[in-house]
Amino acid sequence: MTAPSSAPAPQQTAPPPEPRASGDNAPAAPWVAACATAVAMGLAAVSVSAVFADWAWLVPTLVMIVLVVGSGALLRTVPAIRATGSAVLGQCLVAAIAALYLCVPSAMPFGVPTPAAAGELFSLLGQGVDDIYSTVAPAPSTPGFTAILVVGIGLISILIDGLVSDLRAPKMGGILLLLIWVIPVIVAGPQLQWHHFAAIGCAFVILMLSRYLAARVQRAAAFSVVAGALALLLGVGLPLVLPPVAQRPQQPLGSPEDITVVNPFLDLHADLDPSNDDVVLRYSSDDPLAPPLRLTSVSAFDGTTWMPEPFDIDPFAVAVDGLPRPNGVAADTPVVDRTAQISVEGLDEQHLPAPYAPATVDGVERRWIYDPATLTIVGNGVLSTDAQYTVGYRSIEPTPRQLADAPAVDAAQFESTLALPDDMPEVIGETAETVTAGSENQWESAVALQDWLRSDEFEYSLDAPADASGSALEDFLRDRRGYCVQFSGAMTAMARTLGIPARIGVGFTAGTPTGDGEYEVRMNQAHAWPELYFEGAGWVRFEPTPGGPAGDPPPWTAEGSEGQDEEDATDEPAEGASEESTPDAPESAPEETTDPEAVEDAQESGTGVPVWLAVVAAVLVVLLLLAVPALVRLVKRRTRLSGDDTARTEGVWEEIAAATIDAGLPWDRSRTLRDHEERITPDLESEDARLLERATEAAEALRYGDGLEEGAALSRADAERLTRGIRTAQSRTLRPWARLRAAVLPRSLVSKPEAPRS
Amino acid sequence: MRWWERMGSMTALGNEHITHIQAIAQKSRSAMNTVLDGKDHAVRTALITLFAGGHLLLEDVPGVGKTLLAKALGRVVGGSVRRIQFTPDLLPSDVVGVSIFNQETRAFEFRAGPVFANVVIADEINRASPKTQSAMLECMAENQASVDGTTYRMPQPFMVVATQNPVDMEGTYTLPEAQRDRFTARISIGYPSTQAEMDMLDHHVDHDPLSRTPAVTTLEEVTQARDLIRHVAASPELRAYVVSLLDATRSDPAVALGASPRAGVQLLRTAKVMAVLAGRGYATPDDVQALAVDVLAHRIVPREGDDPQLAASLVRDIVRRVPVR
Repeated sequence: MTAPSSAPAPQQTAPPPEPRASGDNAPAAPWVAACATAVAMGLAAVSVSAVFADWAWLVPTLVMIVLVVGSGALLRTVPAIRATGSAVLGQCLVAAIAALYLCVPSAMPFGVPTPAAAGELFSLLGQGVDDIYSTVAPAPSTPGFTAILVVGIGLISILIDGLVSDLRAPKMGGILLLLIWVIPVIVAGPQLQWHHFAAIGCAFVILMLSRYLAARVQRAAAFSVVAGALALLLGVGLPLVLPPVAQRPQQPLGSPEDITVVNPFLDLHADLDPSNDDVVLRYSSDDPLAPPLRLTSVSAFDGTTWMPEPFDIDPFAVAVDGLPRPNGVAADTPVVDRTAQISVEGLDEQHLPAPYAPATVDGVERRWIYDPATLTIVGNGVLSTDAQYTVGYRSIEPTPRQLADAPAVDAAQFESTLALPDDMPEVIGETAETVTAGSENQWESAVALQDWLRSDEFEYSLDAPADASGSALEDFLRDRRGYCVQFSGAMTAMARTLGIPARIGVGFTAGTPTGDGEYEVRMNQAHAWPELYFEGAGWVRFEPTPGGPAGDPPPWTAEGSEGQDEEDATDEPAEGASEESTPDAPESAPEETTDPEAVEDAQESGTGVPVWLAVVAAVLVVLLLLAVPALVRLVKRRTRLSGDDTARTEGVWEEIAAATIDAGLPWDRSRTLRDHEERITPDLESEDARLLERATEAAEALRYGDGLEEGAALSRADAERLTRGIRTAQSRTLRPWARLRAAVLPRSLVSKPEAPRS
Repeated sequence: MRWWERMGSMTALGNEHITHIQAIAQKSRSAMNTVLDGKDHAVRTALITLFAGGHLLLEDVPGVGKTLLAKALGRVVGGSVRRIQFTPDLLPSDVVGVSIFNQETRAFEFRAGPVFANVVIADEINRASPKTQSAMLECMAENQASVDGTTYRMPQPFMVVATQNPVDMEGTYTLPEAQRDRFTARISIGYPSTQAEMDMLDHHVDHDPLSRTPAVTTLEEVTQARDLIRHVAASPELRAYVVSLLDATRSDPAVALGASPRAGVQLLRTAKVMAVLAGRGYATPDDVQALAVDVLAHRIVPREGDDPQLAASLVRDIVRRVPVR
């Protein structure tokens, strides 16, 4: 691309233009190039707007661009700086300071940049990265986002400005520009509108034209058309090629794909294998109830299996910011605040194990977000592997009386946790009726179900089929053998037939105490248990599984605990203070779920294709695009050197010309073959020089003489050897950068042989 | 056109012919170089013009060896050499000859003028009146002279070596463009190098340098070589290149008058000679480029004044600009 730059300068003659030796342009040129770069970067920034729901981020970004490009232009007016290309260093300094003022002004109380401010900026960038993971476009421009954009676009501006102003290589700059474009394409593909596309297209064209704007050359028109076409191609092509990231619409309830998180319920049978005794986590807790560590709750039952309900994810429901008070827990329900220090060892789960109901989580990334409905903590692109964290949880300890007094729920609000598939065997409902006959309220019914399942009539056995489908439950009620999946599934299904909202908690039992409040949980201590909803107490755990890793039933479900009611109450005052401390928890946690759009957006973010996959795909696409010119060049070379003697004789010379042009050397078409031979020969090894002479003679005889004699043309191998020798010889004279460029972006694909000299 | 198609239109130009002509030219060249020290370019162009059947225009200041070159050329081919010193009062009949009434035979008898020679030196042709110049140029163009209705053929080979003082010297009539066009090539000899000039002072002061110049070939051989050289191949690509060169002289904004079609004919002819001298049976753009300045420069008129140096540099630029092939 340096060769054409010499053409517009009439006073410049033979010497091949060096990339840097471009002081031949008018003095105004640096400013023109700078303006073009600034406008192009501004437009590129605008094209990113698809990612955001607001425009607050644009102002600092534009300020950054103007500062960077402006300082560059100013510095380049100093000839020494311009000659050495060191303006970029100054620009970096300006950008660094500007980033501090633009992003973290509050960290500089005296208006002076400090190391502390830099640290602040870095943490802001880190937050931005987390925001990227937890957000779906169009998102509000958080300070973290803005910081990333300001810094990132600032850096790209420096690079592009350096390429355009110092190296005169706007085409390379164009590629960087396309990297900016990749952001909205990947993150906000569906949000892209024509104007985003137009913005980046204009940016691209302006950048391509920057040199010609300065030199005012007519040829610019052709270049602009090419550049525009390329931008069009990339703009239209990339979104088609890239995997759709944020395209995860809600699917009908019950389809196995409605959530991408692994359903831990399905793995239970395998997990429970006695040989599966790897320690998955250790924790310490002072909770005398030793509640199970829940991964999630599954409530969607399609007659075949139980699944987590589609996630109503709020991208900003970040777990470390605290979780809301669980639904349906009345203010007077005894709630004890407890903590557990959990250290995961061998568990790669997308759910974070925690006792119900988690209130705070410390020590995990911001990518762990929660579902306000189930208080399940889900990793948005992270796994629980080796996580170490402290969970503060509200241990809800209702009294049996309170549960007995709980009014029946409004069925309309608990549709999904009351739903039963149409093909549910009637025996389940009938059995439930039989077992609970004589119960006066729902609590008694639930306790009756639990007692019945825990009675001698049932046998704990891992031999039962791994599923909990309707027919499997029917079998279970007949055979009365099974494990936690069947026990919890049966109790949940039966509770639903009785009108009690029910779901299945999945996770691990409390594990094995190792003394001093420490517990050790093994894989075969995986467990499932029913959770039934009682107004005022929320979701209450039951324990119908009579054996295996399951522990004792919780106190509020124990038969005859009615009598302990008062004694329980005497226990309470000790924890009474904590009881008071909870009511300030937000009651309005699920408010986002009422906004259908928010629900949809939230839906998309948590469950999309992993971001890294999209990034890898984008990088691959970019690399592929970058490789296209080199591939085309390779194919052309092959084509030229294959063919019959006649074609190859001409092809060798076309290839020599192309190689010369690739190396950035002038290929003067007014020179004869002999002239070229004379010019090239001194750089060649003697064998190659001999081949070149033969090539010249053959081409001369073919063009001007009696045609090729037998054996006059070079063989294919010789032709390849010769052209390779010439390429090697010519690349020796190049700087590494130019060498790379010759390989990646061969000029000969676009550039005609050297324009006529005058 | 493939080579076998070309064969139909030509008599055989075998390798032995090429070698033979090469040898003649080489011998002549060495012989002349002993006379004109360090003037190889002029010698080469003169020989090429001879073999191309053209005429040569030497344009230079007096005393650099213009006449010597012409005489040496006549000597090496073993032909007759005549010299005409053009002066403003020279009449056409002084050049071509006159018919004189012979009292004894009672008939007109043609007394041939000095132009009837193998090599005619037309010294300072631009000092003659236009009328005389045109008589001379007619002989050159037609290879014949008409006197009183009778046509007399020139001896073969016939070559005029005209010398011309630079136009800005006093007492000169500039050769009109149309007449300059009849010269195949224009060269200037230029001052000799210091060493050559010292050698010249050493030898030429005492001896006639021409006395030791032998005839290395014969007129017949030269004529035969001329005929053979016509059959050197000129591919369509090459002809297209020649035409594009001519076209460039016509479209160049710095040129007031471009090269004529005759220029192309002459350029191709000389290129063919060049090819044979290089041992090839076909002409290449290298041959054309090597001769373009000598053959074309005097035929174009630069817009900024009729200056030989300027014209030469314009042609050089055109050669550098026009793509080969």
